[in-house]
Amino acid sequence: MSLGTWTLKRPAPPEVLRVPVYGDAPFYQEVKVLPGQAVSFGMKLAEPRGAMGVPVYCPANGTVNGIIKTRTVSGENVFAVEIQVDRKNAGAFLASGESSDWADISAERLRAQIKEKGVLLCGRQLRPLAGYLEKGTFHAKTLIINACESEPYVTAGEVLLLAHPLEIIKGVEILRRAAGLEKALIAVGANAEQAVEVLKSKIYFLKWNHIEVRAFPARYPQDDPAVLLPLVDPFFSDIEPRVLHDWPLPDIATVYAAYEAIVFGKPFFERAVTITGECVVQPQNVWLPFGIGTMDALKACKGVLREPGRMLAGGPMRGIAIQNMEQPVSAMTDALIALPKEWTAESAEADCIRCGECAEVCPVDLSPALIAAASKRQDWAGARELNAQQCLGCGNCAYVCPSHLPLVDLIQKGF
Amino acid sequence: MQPTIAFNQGAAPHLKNEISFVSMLARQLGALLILLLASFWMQGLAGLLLFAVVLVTAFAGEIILRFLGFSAVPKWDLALIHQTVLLALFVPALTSPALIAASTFAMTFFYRASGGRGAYVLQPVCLALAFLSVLGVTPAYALQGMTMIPSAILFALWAALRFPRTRVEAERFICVLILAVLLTLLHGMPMGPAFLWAAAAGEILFDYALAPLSSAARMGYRVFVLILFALFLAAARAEEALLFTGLTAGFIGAWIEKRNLNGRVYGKA
Ligand code: SF4
Ligand code: SF4
Repeated sequence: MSLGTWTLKRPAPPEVLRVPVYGDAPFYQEVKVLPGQAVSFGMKLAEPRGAMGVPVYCPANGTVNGIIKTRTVSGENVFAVEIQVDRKNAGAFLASGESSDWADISAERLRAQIKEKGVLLCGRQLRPLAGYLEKGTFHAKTLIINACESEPYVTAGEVLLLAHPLEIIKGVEILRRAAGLEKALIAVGANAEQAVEVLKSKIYFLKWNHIEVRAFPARYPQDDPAVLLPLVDPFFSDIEPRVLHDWPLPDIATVYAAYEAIVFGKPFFERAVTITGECVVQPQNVWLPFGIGTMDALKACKGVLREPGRMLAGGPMRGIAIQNMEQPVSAMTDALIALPKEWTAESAEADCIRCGECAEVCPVDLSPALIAAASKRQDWAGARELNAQQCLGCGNCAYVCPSHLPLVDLIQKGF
Repeated sequence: MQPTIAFNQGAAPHLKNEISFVSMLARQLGALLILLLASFWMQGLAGLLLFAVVLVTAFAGEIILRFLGFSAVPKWDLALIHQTVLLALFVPALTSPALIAASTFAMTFFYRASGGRGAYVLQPVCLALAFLSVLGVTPAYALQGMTMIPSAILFALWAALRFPRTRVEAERFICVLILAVLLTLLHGMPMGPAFLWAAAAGEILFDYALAPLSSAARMGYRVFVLILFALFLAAARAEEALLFTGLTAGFIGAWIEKRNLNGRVYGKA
């Protein structure tokens, strides 16, 4: 699979955008626009309420159709502002010259600006980046950046790294300062050798020795903090996998968004997304505005060659099957994948043959076969006894199971 | 073209795996056939009789497991055939049918009760024995030349490579160490270090040289180990050691499984 070019394109403006208002509106955000109101590019659609809120910005000129309740492709139930886009004059962000005075700004002001621009900590759960930088848990005064690619097929982070290494390093430095930490560590998958080399050379050039780049074994799910953090520091080995699993770590999309917010004052309204899969005509990484539907996003890659067997948001191991092509892309979406039918898992379930393969591939040493059996018997106490609650949901067990048992489903029922 | 997406259902993982139930079973049965032919070739009808004993005791073990409520599988299924294949791995040296029945029963019990994970512990033991069998027909004598020093170096290397990884690895390491001590007590000095040497070599080979290979290559490797086992059966001269080792490892494997292999146990000893 190609990484596409390092210059990320943007799709043509879609007819309609359904911009998610994150969190559980109206508790965290207050929508500020009304149906029928004309909105312009970069305008605030919603204002934050309390520490958990961030402003939401408009990605295009147009008119508000209404406030709807929807589900994003990545599975979040949100309110969204539906905008009829003025396709002839959709607007675009024009970065004026780079401002370098961030080096003199205090940590509080950096965080305030990051919050003002609506930057979210992208990952498993979205949360305001500024809040994380202020109150996050940091070990050994080090900011850890998770630059490991999340899944097979997904290359958005790596391509962003290769296309903008200097910007990423500066973004890391901005986050480090905003969090008031001494050091930063960029954890990269060992398979991204080129990215590691480029980052190291840029750090050498900038003489920022407090930023370290380290390559970690590229073995799925390397991006999961429960797998990554114990490799970063043995301190984490004694913490339960499930706790580490939800440990917030900024990824490359977050770092780049923070860089743009501080240096160019750019609001957070788009992110780099991998659009790929054997059915896509031109697989590549593109910038997608939040709220764009899958069908419109696919047009950036010239559509599909043939009907996919499954259309996914996220990677093939943990991604979510998209139910409807109008569901909006969110800040959580790192990939849209059109898998052909012949590569799609079918549920032709057989009996467990005790091969032990599932236990062998489990990154947290569970016995998936036993937990699944307990779950089938509805023996929830038994499943908990077997530590079902530590499951990371990585899907390794179900992927290797020769009997095609829906192990992840069964295990997750068990806790 | 734009997709119509009238299709989209299904839980993660979405990617089809290449291992099928039938192919897995066929590969294992193929391996079993080699073993069966080897015993027939060496033992004639007695070899086949022993195989029948294995089969019957496997069923008996299964029935008792179900009776005690330990069996994870709610109905009779192909798992049993598969399990028999795996048990064939542990058929000790061809001595008396009574001993085989006893050991097979023990294996059935522990292996089934441990949800497959017992094999993970047994694997280095089987590997060690297979290596010993290749290195010399009778391990205790042929390995005289292997003194403590290379054994100690290799074992230390293995320990250094593996010990910190997880609690599971640590316990497995201890399990092999206990076996080595017991083997030394039973069979004299060269046996323990030789066992450690072989276990370390097998482990290093499996984890560091073969692990990155495709599943087919790894399966090929397992078949190779089975062939070694068949050769070992042909030698049939370290019976007690093999039987004892198999039983102890099965027991320790099941015990570890029950105690700790259900996920890393954090903060609870
Ligand atoms: S999904 Fe399966 S392999 Fe992954 S952590 Fe859970 S039990 Fe282990
Ligand atoms: S991989 Fe599937 S068949 Fe094999 S032990 Fe696990 S659940 Fe059973």
